[in-house]
Amino acid sequence: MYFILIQFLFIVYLGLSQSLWSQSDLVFDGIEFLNEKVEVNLNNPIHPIEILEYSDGLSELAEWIPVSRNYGKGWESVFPFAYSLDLDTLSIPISNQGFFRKSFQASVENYTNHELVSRFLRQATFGPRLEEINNFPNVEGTQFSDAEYTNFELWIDNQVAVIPMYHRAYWRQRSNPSFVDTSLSVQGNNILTLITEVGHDPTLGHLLPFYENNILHRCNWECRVEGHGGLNSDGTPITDFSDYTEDKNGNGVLDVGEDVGYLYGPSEAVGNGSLDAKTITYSNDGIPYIGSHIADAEAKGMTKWDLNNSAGDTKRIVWYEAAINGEDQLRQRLAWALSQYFVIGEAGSNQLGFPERFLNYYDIFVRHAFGNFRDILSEVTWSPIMGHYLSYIKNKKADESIGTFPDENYAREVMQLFTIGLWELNQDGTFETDGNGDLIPTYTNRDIEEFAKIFTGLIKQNKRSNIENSFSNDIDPLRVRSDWHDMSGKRLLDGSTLGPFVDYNNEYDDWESFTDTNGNGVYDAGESFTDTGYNDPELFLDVNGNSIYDMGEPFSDYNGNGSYDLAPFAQVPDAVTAVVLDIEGFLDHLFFHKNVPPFMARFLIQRFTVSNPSPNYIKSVADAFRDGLYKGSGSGERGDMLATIKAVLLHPEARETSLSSDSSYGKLREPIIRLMHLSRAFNLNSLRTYDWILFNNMEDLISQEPYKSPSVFNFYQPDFSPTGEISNMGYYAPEFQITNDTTLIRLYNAYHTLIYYGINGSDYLYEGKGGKIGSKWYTEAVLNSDHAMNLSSNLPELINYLDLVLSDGQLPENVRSIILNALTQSQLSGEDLVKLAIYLFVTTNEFNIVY
Amino acid sequence: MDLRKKISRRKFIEQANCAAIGSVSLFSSLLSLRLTAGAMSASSFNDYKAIVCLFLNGGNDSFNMLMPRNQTAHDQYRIARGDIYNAQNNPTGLAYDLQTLESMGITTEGQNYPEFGVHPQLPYLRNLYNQGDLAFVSNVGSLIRPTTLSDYENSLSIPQGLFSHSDHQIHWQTLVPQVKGTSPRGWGGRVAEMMESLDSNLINNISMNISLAGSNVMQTGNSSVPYITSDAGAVELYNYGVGNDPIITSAVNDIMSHHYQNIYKSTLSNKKQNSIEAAKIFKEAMAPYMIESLQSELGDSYTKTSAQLSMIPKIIQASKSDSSSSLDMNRQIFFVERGGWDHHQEGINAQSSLFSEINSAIELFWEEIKSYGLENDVLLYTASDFGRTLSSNGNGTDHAWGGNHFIISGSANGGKIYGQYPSLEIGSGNDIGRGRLLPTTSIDQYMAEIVNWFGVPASELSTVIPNIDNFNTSPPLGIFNS
Repeated sequence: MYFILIQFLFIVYLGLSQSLWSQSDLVFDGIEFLNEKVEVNLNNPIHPIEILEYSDGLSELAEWIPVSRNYGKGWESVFPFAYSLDLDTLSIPISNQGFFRKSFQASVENYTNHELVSRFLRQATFGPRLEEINNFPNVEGTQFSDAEYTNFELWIDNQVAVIPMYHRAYWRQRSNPSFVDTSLSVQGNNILTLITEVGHDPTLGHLLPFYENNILHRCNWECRVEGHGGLNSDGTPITDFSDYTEDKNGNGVLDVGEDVGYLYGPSEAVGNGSLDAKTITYSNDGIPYIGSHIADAEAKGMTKWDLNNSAGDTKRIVWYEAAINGEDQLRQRLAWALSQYFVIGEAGSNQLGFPERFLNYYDIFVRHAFGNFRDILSEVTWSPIMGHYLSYIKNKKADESIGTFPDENYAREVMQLFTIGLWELNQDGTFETDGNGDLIPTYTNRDIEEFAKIFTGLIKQNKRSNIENSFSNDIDPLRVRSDWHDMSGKRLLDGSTLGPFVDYNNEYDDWESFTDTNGNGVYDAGESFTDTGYNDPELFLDVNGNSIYDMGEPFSDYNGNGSYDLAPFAQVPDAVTAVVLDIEGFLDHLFFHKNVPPFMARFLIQRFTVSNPSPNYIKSVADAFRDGLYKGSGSGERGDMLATIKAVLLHPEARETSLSSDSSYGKLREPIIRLMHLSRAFNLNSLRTYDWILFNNMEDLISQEPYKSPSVFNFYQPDFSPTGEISNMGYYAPEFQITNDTTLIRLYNAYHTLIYYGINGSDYLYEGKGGKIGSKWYTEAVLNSDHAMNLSSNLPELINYLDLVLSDGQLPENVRSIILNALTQSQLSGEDLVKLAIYLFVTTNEFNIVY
Repeated sequence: MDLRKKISRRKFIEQANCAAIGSVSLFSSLLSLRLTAGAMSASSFNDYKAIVCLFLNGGNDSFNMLMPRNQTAHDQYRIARGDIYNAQNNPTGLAYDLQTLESMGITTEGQNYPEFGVHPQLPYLRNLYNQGDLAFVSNVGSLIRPTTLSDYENSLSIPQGLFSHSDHQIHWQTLVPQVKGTSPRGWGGRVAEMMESLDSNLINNISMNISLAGSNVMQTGNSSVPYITSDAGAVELYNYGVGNDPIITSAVNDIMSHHYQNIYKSTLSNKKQNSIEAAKIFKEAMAPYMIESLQSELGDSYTKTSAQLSMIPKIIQASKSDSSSSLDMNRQIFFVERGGWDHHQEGINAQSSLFSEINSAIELFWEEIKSYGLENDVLLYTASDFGRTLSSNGNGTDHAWGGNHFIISGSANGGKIYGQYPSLEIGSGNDIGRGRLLPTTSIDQYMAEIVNWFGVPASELSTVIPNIDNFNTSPPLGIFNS
């Protein structure tokens, strides 16, 4: 075994002054060879960041693997390693020849306060706006940065206090005028969180479409809602729509497939085909033919075509509104992250044109973003949207007579994806292993079959008024149909038994008898016992095959007290409560599994800050989740999301800028977030109806779009690793899964389109090239950068400004020169110059990657 | 690149990561392929061959794709599936009646009985079978070695993450189900690395692996990644390149060539550069074959499946070295994916409409391939996460293991069901519970037929299919004459 100590490092970044690595005299004090392991004394660092790297000795320079690092917060293992570190002594189990060296960076570029803020806001929001940077707590202060990241925590606390933008409420306020505000009344299933059901706001009009009794009411001429849709000249609602049909074949009736249109104004024919609608004359008595929203549109210089927004897109219109203009940015970012964890998608759902149910589902995440994970888990489970998506609505207990078994879909995914994952984890996110070094599965298929019994007997609530209705109630939490529920006790992962909560089939009426020879009231091994057929709560192994418990037969003691327990029914609840106890008891069982904190921690860290968090970082976030405390404050309840997100955003690994010189630090940003950043930084402004913004069909274009995950496995997987450098080093980079030859170019083209033309559906743009970012006539929008325009005659200032809002001020010097030269050479000015500058900026890696 | 260092580095990472490997030697064999691939001769690629993988994502209920007609076997099938489906009288049932199967009947040799039927929405596939261009392979699934019920019950050499979508999908693509995750990389990627090392024509910005369905594990190797395209053809960067804005072009190039130490930045730059260059090459090669958009060309036949499959004949024409515009590639692997097969609910109806879609898409595709006389040079095979439970969950089925698949090629000995069509009696020999069938043919055996046909020599088979030697006790399936 040979170890060579490399005392210095001489790597040079090409032309990058801020990250020059230089020679030094770092020395390893002590290195000891023990059986199958080596102990390295790492010493106190003398540089802002030092990294211990390993090589097999054959690698090229670039293939040294970082093992441990110190960026001023003590030595720690880096992903994926979790070696034991006793103060400065690292113990590595290794039996191979290997080499170690320390690399370091002698100086770290100073960030200005504003740059630190921009960096933070790129992690925590849908992208910073200049005024948000300028209004950040104490950003002008001289003592802005401190070890506790006080000002960043203050910003988080301020965000928590912002009134949430509930997606469903936003829609209801602008949709059905007859929706009543019941937000203050108590209703619904009293076991679950109350539904906030705000009503219509008459000052906002009827802007967004809704269904009522299977009729779609859009804010166009078709709408039958009084005062909002078409009116006859005498003010009565139009009931005979034959006058308004666009009869393409001229046969006088509206055939299937023919567009509906109407004749707008005295003589203007609009539409594709020929019109044979009756001539309509404009009212002279002050009553418009068309409802109030049309009048609004007219005042804005729009035509009726601008109003025809699609019901299926409504949920996304609201989403883009929240992402771009929501004041509660952190809450909305968290909701977006959680929606990528508890995934539903249009593929696999039905009745996509009904917005309210989807908005209601999404609001679970808005509501509990700073609440408790356990509440989210419960509300998701009882949601009719998830119930349909993972097929447990109307799921029935096994029926031998027709050979059916309970659906296993939710039982599996609630564990694999929503709580514990497939493999046992340590609190720092590393895998637990057994004696052979193999991973330990968290469950078996037998467990799945067992837990499938739990998600039985759930059906939708009855239809009711005051919600968007079709054939069923897809808003209220599922209700119980107890005769479809499997009431038996369930064997849990730890061997204990959940339930049974009721005396199903009256089995206990004829209860087992045993001879309690020592008089302690419980069955002890060796006591005589007669099992009359009831197998629960504790199972026995019927070794002689007579199906009853015979003296001496072994049994499984689920609660580990060594005795056979007989009386789980201290209180026998009603059947409905028993089902709720069964489901909630199982969710508790999962929630308290030791995997949940590290599983969730890794997920959230990857969504916000870095792709490859150190074990330290995961543990710190997992601890906050487990204890409900961030630095001692918080609810103290397991699953506290506020404590957890604080731990994500305020961990030194998220905040210390010295780490940006660690080559594995950071992450590729989500494509949709990059587009939101551009939209926010330059105030994307709608030219069309009611300021709606809709990036249309982004899933087809860039493989990411709200409500469009292709499956419950989200757009990308947490352990995706692209071929090449990243996978060679054993790292993950989830967002690269949707970064390929087509989506990558299309995203850059989407930047280009957005900057040069805005959201514009016109086919004449880029015909045949793909890459439109909108094709809905009612959502045209353009970026608006007055600030950049003001700087267009001062190129260095323009670049400084763009650098700050788009890339934390981290643009490398030579990239800055490239952009400056291009702008100068272009001889453009004003708007054209600004567009080119922004476009070149967003092609830089500094914009696309956070680090 | 020296492979030895890669091996030890990986070994180090895997050990340190505490990942369940127990397969250091396996990694050695995966990574040493370039050193040992000398048995292949570059001149062997003068003929054109293409493999098309049709991945039915979600787990096709394939015991409703291929069903027995023998009375006893059909009774067992019918009972296992909760009797004949009837929307009114038996909505929980999943079986098709004998009459329907007779109208879709096929026959075979080599099974316990000769009469089978295919799903009523698969008439074109049935025709191909009867013409000898399609072969079924029965009860295929991921295995590490031949596995008995007792092995399963004792967890001996059982694939990682059994019954989970993501894991089974990975098994089909890495062919290394004893390793969790994608680190062994895909078999197509391994083939590409092997072949590209031997035939410089295959080293190109356009990989011999082409995906119509985005990134995937199968086509991704340690150094080789698929070229990804769609029915839109090549996607080029706006205002960039010859004849476009020179200032943008030169600035984008300069920005892209900035060197980064950060792994995400350098990976992004590389990907962008490759994508731009590949799009240019691909567009030029495809130009003669992409006169109008595929959507308008296919009209009403444009579906998620046909949008992918119908691109392939065009790409093949643009690829063959005897064509004028050529990408000059005589070996290609295509990846096509159709999701939506996870039929926990609406099992009967949803599957029928998907079958109808793939039947039509394959018909369009294969008739075009035949019109170019390429039917002996192109092979399409199906992959899917797993088969599904024979028993019903009331409205659909749950995740299981073994399933039925098919291969289409003029060079296949079609008109036959290969492997061992299992007894569908609940509780019978292969049933591990609820009608989850233990596979009797491994994915490896199925893939070995295909890879052999493709020209990977027997000596290199275990490089592409690392566990294949575990199955050498049984003879090859014999789908192709070799």
